[in-house]
Amino acid sequence: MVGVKKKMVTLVSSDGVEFVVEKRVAEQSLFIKNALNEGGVEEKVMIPIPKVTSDTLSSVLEYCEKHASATEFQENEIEEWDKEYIEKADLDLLYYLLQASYSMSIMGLMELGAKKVASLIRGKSPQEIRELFNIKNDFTPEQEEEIRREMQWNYE
Amino acid sequence: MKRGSIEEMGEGSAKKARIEEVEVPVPELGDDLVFEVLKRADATTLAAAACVSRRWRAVTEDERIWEAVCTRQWANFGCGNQQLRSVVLALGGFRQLHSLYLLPLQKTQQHPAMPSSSAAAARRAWMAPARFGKDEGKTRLMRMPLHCDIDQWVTIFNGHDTSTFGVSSPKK
Repeated sequence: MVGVKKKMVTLVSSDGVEFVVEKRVAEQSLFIKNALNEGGVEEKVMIPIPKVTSDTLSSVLEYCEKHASATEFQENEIEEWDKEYIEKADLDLLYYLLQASYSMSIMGLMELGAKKVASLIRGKSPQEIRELFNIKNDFTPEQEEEIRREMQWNYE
Repeated sequence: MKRGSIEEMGEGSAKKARIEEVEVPVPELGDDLVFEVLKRADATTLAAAACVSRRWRAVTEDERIWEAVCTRQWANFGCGNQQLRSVVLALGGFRQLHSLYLLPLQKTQQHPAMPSSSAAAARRAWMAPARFGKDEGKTRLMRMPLHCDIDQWVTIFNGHDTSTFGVSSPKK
């Protein structure tokens, strides 16, 4: 059952780009791991990754590749690498990485992305958060006033 | 630009963004992801997040988020997590606990002068000394429902005699 070493799988992004990667790299994603277990196909496995574009997938796979060989590195080396990896992602990519990590079940990456986004909104006002994420304010003025009162300690 | 201003972006990316203007805007994060993000945010950020939109508001009403905030702040409270959890939830929840007790404590430590609004004054009147002894903590938790809305009060104590909690009534 365990694959021969360097067994490869092909991942297909939502925009149709194929990525051939080692199975152990792809299996950093529980979504893919489960798909492989269910499929039981031995040769030339092709797995479509819905909703993840090639740009995002290539960055996701960079993460998976590093973490598939995590045992070869010191723990703090991986931490440093993670930090650098998430720092260099711009806001759009960060957003897509977070979504991809969630849909592909890559818990480490989700943790990393969620922490980064949390740090981006730290200390920001509601309006600044809306602008950052292109969120529409759908409260009525009365509701907003009520919430503002309730959360007053934040504005004091 | 597809989204609002992003401080981190340099001039180069701003130019690139203008060319890509026709691109589909980034879809909003789903509730699950907003939850994951806010679980890692501090209380002040959560308060701001609650004012962002209805969806974000709904996410910040999840007690698990406030539990994370509270337990991060007092990692070592001296009793079992499950035990603590059941007590806090029964008495009004983690958000109440934070806004009524943990936050005022934090504020006095940082800024001795408290805000002057009447709500804050009422909270100040109820503020216990900043000690975290095990029993003192329990006492403060027990006082908590006295600050709840009347509806919450009724819900929480429906069928219970409040005197069983053995605390004196608050002096208004």
